[in-house]
Amino acid sequence: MLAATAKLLALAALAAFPFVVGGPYYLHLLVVILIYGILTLGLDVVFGYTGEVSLGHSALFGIGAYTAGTLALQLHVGFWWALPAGVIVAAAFGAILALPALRVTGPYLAMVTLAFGTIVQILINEMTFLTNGPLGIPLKRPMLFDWRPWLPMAQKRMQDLQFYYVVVAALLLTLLVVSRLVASRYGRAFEALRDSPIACDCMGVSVYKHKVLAFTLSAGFAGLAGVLFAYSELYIAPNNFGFDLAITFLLAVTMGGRKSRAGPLIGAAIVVFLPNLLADIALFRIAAGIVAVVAVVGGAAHMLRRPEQRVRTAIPVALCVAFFGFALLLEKITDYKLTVFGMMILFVVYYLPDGIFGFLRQIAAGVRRPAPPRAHAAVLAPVDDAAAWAAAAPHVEAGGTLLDVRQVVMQFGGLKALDRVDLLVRAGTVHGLIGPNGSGKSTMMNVLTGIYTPTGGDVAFEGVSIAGHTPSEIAGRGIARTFQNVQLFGELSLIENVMVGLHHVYRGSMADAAARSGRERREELAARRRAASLLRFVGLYAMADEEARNLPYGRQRLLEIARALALDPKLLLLDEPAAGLTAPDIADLIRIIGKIRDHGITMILIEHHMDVVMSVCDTVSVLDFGQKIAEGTPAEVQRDERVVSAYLGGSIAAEAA
Amino acid sequence: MLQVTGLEAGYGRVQVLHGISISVPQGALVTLIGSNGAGKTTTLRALSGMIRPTAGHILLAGADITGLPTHAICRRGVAHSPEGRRVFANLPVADNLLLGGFARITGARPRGDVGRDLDRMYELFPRLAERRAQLAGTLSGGEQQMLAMARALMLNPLVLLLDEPSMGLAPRLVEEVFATIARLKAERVTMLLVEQFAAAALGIADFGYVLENGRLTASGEAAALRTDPAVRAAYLGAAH
Repeated sequence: MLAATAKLLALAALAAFPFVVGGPYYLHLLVVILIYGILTLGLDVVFGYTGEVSLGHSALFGIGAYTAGTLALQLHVGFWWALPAGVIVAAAFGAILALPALRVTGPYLAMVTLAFGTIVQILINEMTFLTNGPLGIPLKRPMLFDWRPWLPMAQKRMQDLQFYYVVVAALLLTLLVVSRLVASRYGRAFEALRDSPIACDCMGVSVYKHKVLAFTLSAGFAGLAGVLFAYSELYIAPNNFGFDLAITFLLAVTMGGRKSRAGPLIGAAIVVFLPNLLADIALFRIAAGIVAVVAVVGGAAHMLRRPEQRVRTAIPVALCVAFFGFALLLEKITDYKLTVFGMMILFVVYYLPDGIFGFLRQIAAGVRRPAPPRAHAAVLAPVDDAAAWAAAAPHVEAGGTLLDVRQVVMQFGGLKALDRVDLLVRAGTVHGLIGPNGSGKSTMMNVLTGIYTPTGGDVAFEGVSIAGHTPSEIAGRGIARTFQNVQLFGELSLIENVMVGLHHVYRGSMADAAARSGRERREELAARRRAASLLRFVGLYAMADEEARNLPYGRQRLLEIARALALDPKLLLLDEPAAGLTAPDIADLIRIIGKIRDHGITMILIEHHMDVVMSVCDTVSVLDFGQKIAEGTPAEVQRDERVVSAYLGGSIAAEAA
Repeated sequence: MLQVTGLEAGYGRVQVLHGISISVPQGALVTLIGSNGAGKTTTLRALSGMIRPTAGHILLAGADITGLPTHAICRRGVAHSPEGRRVFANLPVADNLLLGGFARITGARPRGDVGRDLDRMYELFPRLAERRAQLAGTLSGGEQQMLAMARALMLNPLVLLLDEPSMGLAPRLVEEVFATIARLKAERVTMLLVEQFAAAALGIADFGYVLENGRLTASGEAAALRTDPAVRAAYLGAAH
């Protein structure tokens, strides 16, 4: 309610602005802020959601602007054609950059995008025949609609106004598309691949594909911003799109607050407005004074509530007051402009790691009661238990061969982690895999799910070889897994974690998601229901909206099972599901495994708790030093002397069993 | 040695511990049992300063260490072998152990004979001796667990906090871990143990505390808890 009112007010303010503030100077300033806002909103998809740093967005911005510029210069094509062309050309460059660059991540990707930015700037400068080189390209302000016969207004004023509203419309469109996409399965995929790329691939959500998608999308918005920028400035030159601009964009997103819509807009406003603010000493003093007063009041309130943190609270307050003093002492601010800018950035990054909007949100959350569970809890109250189980009928009838591992070798340097291992798993059974730590069990899991390509031998699933296929392909064929060292999407809620596993049920396109079409809403609701019933199945429904990272270790393992079941697997690989569970929880786990089997899902179980292995497995294979040393029913294996000496030992194992 | 009263702690706005009071006497082995999510790990994390307690007091050998940062608590003599091992994967085994004794080498704690203690660790965990030059990340899960314990012991701590030392270990190694704990107990190392094998933990401990939803529901001599029907039914599993 509050948020809706705020949105309406902001919209009204945007609409009324040109009539309240008459001068063309401030109108132009606002236009630039909005254009930067379009770019930073797009950048946030890459930077905030997928967690990658791009230093190439100034170049993509430039490509958009120069698409408009060259079209006007060479072909005399105007604004309306330049708009889609700029988006498409920038998105294409973004995709070309992303395809090879996204094989690398983190600092390496930042370096690649930096190189891209440099190359683009130099090319624009040197390709004089196309871009007019360092001389730049002048553009003419278009008269978008000629309404002069009806509206008595100066030509320039009408042009300015029309352009302003076009930019506002573009920003609103960007806001709408970005917020819908990040709320859809695409947004979940972007965050999932940031938190755990390996689990993301194993849920059938290709990390590579979604990273390229995020980058291309983001580049498209940069192109849109570029075209608008060209027609706002009416003159573009290569040095408009330098490296420092790329940094400015990243700063805007960081200062404003990542992973939000308001954050990048606040950031854009700051980076555009600040240099102007710093040019006017009187205005600067007033602003610094306001900041100091707010800091003193806020700091005092915080100290009253949390007296033990008084020293930590006092430091930023003192800094704000000192900054005001500094502002009063300064005579000529222009000399210190960059210093002031730098100090403010340091302050924000150090004290407001979630950005200004994140900080405001935190305060609001502290003042208000804890947010009630999101709407879906109510929508979904009557969850159907049967809904958890989609009709994933195995292609192989019970008892037939589902998985056939033949003579698999996995060699790391001189070490053979798996040495000619055979493994035959029959449909409908639970196949145990046990052995000492370091015997190759987890390596086998990684071979089966495509994380490793075996150095020798073959893996056939439903009679088809899957050795050498990517993890997301193998997941798509119906092999799901959990991880020994839990791999959850920490910043997603429990229900969203499961919904990442449900990616494969969506039939709608990205356009459906961006437009939030009827189909998209139906599919999203169905997925949410299904995820809720899976959570109920593992007993985590009550915590559906908690962030996964806040779960205790044992429950995280149950969440992994729910997420893996979302894939409708034919084969489920469980890697030490009972590790860290206490006795009553283990009894629950055994019940859960039994139910999964009842639904016709075949399982491979790696486990050290012999009570679990003995009570659920039909067949057990034992590995030691990468070789299979025994196989048979649990009772047979338990009696095998080699297994006892290599693995089981005496008292506590027997006690646990 | 360690005296905890009214400890409260949590993550963000979620309060996990609601007033825990525990006493770990000098030379004793005390165990904390409870179901998953009861707050066992959170208690250990609060004791070693990894999360800041919101209320209550922690006295170590009579001195208040409540709210101190982790490194300061470590320097005062609390060693923590964390859940999930957390070894320094890109350093060799020997360097992992020396880092465990860092506070002694820098002089923040009584130095003693670091070299002799290093040898003692290799004697206590012969597998680590075989692999002393290997990177810790390449050890198997069981070996990493031993390394985490040995690294904590290298501090020569006043209190050793052990969080799930048997997690993810093969049955034979679980036995080895318990044998090691028994040996440390015989050497009068003061320990606070959190274990999934509650029955086995109560079997070697002196005292036990039962934790449920962040509150203590029972406490006493470990042997008495082990035979308590309510505790048996709830935490030790029907098999026992």
